[in-house]
Amino acid sequence: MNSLSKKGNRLGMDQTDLSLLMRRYGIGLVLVAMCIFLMIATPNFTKASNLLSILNSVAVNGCIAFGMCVVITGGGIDLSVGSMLALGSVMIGKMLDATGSNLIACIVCIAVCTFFGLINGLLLAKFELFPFVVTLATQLSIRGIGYLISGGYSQGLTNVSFTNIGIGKTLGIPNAVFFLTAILIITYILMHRTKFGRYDYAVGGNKAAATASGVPVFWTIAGSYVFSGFCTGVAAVLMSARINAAQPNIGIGYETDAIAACVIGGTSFAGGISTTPGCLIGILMIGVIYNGMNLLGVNSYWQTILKGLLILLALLLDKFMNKKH
Amino acid sequence: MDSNEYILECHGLSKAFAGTKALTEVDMMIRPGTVHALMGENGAGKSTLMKCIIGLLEQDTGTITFEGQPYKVKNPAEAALKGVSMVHQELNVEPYLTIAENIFLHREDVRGPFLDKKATLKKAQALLDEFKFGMPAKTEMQNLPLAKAQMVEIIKAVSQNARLIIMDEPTSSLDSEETEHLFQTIRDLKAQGKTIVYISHRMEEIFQICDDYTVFRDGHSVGCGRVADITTADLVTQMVGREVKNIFPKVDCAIGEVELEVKNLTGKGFKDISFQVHKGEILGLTGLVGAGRSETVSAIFGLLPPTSGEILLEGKEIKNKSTTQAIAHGIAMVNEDRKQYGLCLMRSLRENISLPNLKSRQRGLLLNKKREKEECAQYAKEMTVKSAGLEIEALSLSGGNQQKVVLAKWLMANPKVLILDEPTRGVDVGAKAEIHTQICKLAARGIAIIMISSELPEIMGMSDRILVYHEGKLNGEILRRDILSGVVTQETILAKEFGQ
Amino acid sequence: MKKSTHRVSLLVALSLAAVMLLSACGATSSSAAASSAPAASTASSAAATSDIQVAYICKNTVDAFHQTVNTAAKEALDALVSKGAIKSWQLYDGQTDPATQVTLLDTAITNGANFVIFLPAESAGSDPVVTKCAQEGIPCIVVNSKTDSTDAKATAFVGSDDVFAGEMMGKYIEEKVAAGGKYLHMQGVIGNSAQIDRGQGIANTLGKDSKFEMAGEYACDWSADKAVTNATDAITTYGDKIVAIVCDNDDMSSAVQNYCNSIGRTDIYCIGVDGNAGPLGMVKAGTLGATVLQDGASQVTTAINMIPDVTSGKQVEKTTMIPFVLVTKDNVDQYLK
Repeated sequence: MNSLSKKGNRLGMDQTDLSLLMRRYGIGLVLVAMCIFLMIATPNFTKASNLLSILNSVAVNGCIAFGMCVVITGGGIDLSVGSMLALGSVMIGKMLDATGSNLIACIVCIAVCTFFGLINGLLLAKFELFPFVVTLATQLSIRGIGYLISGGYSQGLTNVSFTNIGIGKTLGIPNAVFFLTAILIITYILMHRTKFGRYDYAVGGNKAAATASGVPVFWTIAGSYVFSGFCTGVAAVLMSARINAAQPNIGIGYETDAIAACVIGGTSFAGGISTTPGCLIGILMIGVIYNGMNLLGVNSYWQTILKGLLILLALLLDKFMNKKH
Repeated sequence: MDSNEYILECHGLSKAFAGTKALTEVDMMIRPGTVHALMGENGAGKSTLMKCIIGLLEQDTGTITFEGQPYKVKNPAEAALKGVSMVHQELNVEPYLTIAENIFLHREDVRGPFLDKKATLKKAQALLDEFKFGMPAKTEMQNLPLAKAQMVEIIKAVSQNARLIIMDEPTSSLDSEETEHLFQTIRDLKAQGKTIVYISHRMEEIFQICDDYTVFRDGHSVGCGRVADITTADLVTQMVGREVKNIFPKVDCAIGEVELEVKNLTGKGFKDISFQVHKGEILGLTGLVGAGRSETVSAIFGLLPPTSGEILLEGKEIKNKSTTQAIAHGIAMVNEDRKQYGLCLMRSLRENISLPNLKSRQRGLLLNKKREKEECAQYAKEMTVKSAGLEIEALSLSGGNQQKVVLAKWLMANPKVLILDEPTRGVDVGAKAEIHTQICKLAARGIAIIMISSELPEIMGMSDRILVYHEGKLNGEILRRDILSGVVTQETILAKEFGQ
Repeated sequence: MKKSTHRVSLLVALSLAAVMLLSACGATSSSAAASSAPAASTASSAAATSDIQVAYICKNTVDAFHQTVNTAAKEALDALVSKGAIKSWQLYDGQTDPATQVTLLDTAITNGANFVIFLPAESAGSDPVVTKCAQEGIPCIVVNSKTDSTDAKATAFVGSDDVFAGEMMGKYIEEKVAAGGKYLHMQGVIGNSAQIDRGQGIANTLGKDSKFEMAGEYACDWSADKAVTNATDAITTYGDKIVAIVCDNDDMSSAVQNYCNSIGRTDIYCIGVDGNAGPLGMVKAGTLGATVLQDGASQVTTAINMIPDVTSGKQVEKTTMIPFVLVTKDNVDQYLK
C-alpha cells in the first residue's frame, strides 16, 4: 500500500477495524476511567439512586444534544435551541391554562418547537447563509416571542399529573430516562438506518459530491433542523415538568452544553462525522462530571473548567484521528 | 453526417457569463467507442462545455444530441441517469463514507424505510472485484490514495451504466505507474464499447491513448480530427493560435560554484541522500510519486526537519527548523499546490507578491504602500504576469498567471536556492513555455534551482542534471549532454524510476 | 501514527484524572473536620443530633449579596459542627438555575443529607425542592425568598419582608422630595418573590401618593448595566421631571446614582435594597443618599441556628422576618466592615 501513497495528495492511512473503533468511541474509555475514579473516591457514586439521578439530570440536555448532533453532522449548527426550550415551556403553561389537558399541552409545545425548527431549516437550506448567524438571529427572535406571550412572567404549574411526566417514575425508573432513551433510539435509527441519515452524513461530508449524486440537499438540511426542533420540544416538556413551571427565561446557554456533548462524543464540527452512541457518551460524561463534583463537594468553578478541558480533549483526539481536519 | 456515426453531437453551443463569451457557436462530434481528446488552453472553454453536457450549466443556444436523441439535463444526477458521467479533476467524493456508500449514494438498497447495508455492500464488492480493485468495499474513502479514489469514481460511472465518461485531467496527480494502470482501464472500457472524453494538457498522453481530438481556443472549436493525422506542433499551434517553437526554451547560462549541498540526508520517506546544486544550475528531480523527492525538499525548506544528515549552504552547515528560518537563509520553495500553499486567493496580486518580503523590504511600523506597489509592479512585470492591474484578486487569474505570481513573489525575495515542485502543473501549453522562460531567467541570475516534475519531457528539456529517485534513495544521475545526444531516453529514465 | 494517538489520549486522560484528583483534594466538604468533632465533644446533647448532615443549597456563589450570606452560613454551620449539634454539612451551588437546584437536592440525598437549608433561585421553578423535601420527610428551612409552596410545606422560612423594604424606599422618597414628581422603577427578575414584594411595597407608598407619577417601569433582571441603560433613555426623554429612581436592589441603584452624578443630576434620589459593600461605601462618601440594608447574614444564621431545635422536636417559628434597616450617612459606619 505504501508505494501507492501520494505526496501531498495523501488522503489518509490504512485503518483496521480496531482503530476505527478507537477513533469513534475512544472517548468512552475516558468515561470509564472517570467512573472508576469516582467509584473509588466516593461510595455514593454507584448507588442505584445516584446513577438514575445522573440520567435524570442529563435527560433535558441529552434530548437537545441528539437533535444538535443531527444538525452538526449535516454541516450546520443550531444556536436557537435554548430559546426554543423557553418558548416551548411558555406554550405548555398557556395550554394547560386554556385546556387543562396534558396531552394538548405536550403536543402544542412539540409542534411549536418543530415549527421553528422548520423555519430555521428553510432559511438555511434556501439561502447560502452561515448557520451560526441565522440561528443566532432566530435565537433572539424566538426568545422575544416567548417573553411576549408570557408577558415576562414565570408561571407555576399546578397540574400535578403534568409534573409527574417529568419527575414521576414508571417501573421504578424515572420517566425522564424513558424520554431520553426514546430520543436516543429514534436518533440512532434515523442516522444509521435510514436514507435520511445517509444523506445527512453525505451533505456534511462533501456537499458538492452529495449534490452531484442527486442527494436532495435542500430537504436534508431542512430536515435536520426540523428534527432538532422536535427534540428540543420534547426537552421542553421534560424541563417544564421537572421545575414545575412555565418560564420564558430558561435555557440560556443550553446550546453550549448540547454542542459540548456532541463534540465530546466525537461529532466533528466540520460535518460528516458523528455517531449516535458517541453522542450518548458525551452526554453522560457531562452528567458524570457534574454529579461527581457535587458528590465530592467540589467548587462549581472546577466543574466548568473540567467541562472545557473535556471539549479540548475531544477536539485533540478528533484532530489526531481524523487528519482531514 | 449520419447521426448514428456519433454518440455525442454538439451544434452551435453558446454560453455567456455577464458579458464574457465563454462559448461561441461550438461544434463537437464524438464517435462511439473512442477516446476523444479535448484540448485547449485554460479559459478556452473546455470546462464550460463539459459543465453544459453534465448539467451544471445550461447553454444559451445550441443543441446537444446523445445516442441519436435530443439531450437536455438539469443536473449531474440526471445526466448520470441518461448515461453521461464525469470524473472530476478535483475528485468529488464523500471522504467519510465507505467505497460502497459512495458508489451507491442516492441509489441505496432499502428494506422498507431502512437501508439494506448488506445488499449494497455486496453489490459494491462485486463491482470492485470485477475491476480487480484489491481493497474491501467497506474502506473509508479518505483512506484511499488518490489514484484509487479516482478509480472508484470511474467504477461508479460504470455502475450507473455510463456510455460516455468524461475524464478531466485524470493523470495530473498520478505517477507513471498509476497512469499506465489508468490507461489500461481506459482501454478496457473502450473494449466494452464505452466512449471516453479525455481532457489533458499532456501531449504525450494524447498521442498514447486518444483516437480523436477537438481543439478549443478562446471559446471556439477550431479544429478536430484523428490523432493519427496530426503532429504535436500542429496541435499546439491550433491551441495557441500561433507557432510555439519550443515548449522547453532552455537557455544555457553560466554555472558557478556549489551553492547548496546535502550530505547523507535521511528523514521520513528518504534515506542517505547526497547531492550538490550549483549557482545558475537547474537540477531536476524525477521519480515515481512517493519516491522521496518532495520529502527531501521539504526537509531542506524546513517544513519537516530531517532525522539525520547535513545541509550546507555556501559551505556552511545550516539547520532549518521552520520555513521562516529557511527563508531567512535564502531558501525559497514553490509548492506544487499553489491554491493551498502558494497564494492567498482572496487577496490582491500585490499583497501576494509582497507577503514573504514585508519583513525585509518594509522597515518602519507602518506599511509604505507606495513602495510596495512599485516594487511588486516591477517583479510582476519581470515575470510577465498578465493581469488587469495589481489590485485584482489572485483568484481571478488563470493557472499560468497564478504560477507566475508565485514566482514573482519568490524572485522578489532574492533567494540563493529556489525549489520548484511541479511548477507547471495545471498550466496550459502557452503559459508553460513562458514559465520555463522565467525559470531560465532566474537561473541566469545565479540562483540555484531544484526542480521536481513528473513530466519527463519537461525535466529532460529543462534540467542541467537529473537525479532519479527510487523508493527513497537516489538511483542515478543524468547529465544534459547525454540527453541532448540521445544516449539517455525517456525509457532509460523511467527504468531507473522503477529501480533498474 | 497509531502510537502517537494513543499517547495523546493517554496523556489527556491522565491529566483529566489529575485535575479531578486535585479538585477533589480542594473539596470544601467539611466531613473530614466533622469526623473528629464527635470524639472531641463530650456531647451532653442527645446522641440523635450527631447524625444530622446538612445540605446547604445556595442560590449562587457569584453575587455580592449571596457571597456575604454564604460566608455567614459557613461560620454558623461550622460552629454547629464543633458543638456537635450536627455531624457535617456541604455546600451545593445552584448557579442561579432552578433546574440545577432540583438536581442538587437529589445529589444531596444520595450523599446522605437529612436536613436542607435552601435559598431558592426562583419562586416557581425552585419549588420542587421544597415539595420533594416535604415528600421525603426531610426538614427544609427556606431562606431569603419564598417559593410557591414554602408557606404550606417548608419547615420554616426566614427572610425579610420585602413589601416592607419597598415601603421603606417609598417613604424615603416621599420624605426627600416633598413636592413630588416623576419617578422610575428598576426591577429585578420578573417572577422572583423579592421582585414581586418590593414592587408591591413601592406601589403601596409612591403608587398611592398623588404627588408622584411613575414615568417608567423596567425589567432589569437585577442588572446594574440594564438599569443604567434604561435610566439613560428615560432621563433623555423626561429630563428634569425625573426626581427619583427606585430600584429593587442596590447594585442597580448605586450604578444609576453614579450615572446621574456623572451627568450633573445629583438632585435625583436613587435608592435600592441589599446593603452591599459598594453602595455602603457610596453612602459613606456621600455620593449615595441612602440604601435599605437586607441583613442576609442574619437571615441565614437565624435559620441555621434553628436546626438543633427542629431536630430535637421543639416547636419553631414558621415565619421569621429579619428587619430591614434604612442606612444613611448617620448610621452607615455600623454596617461597613
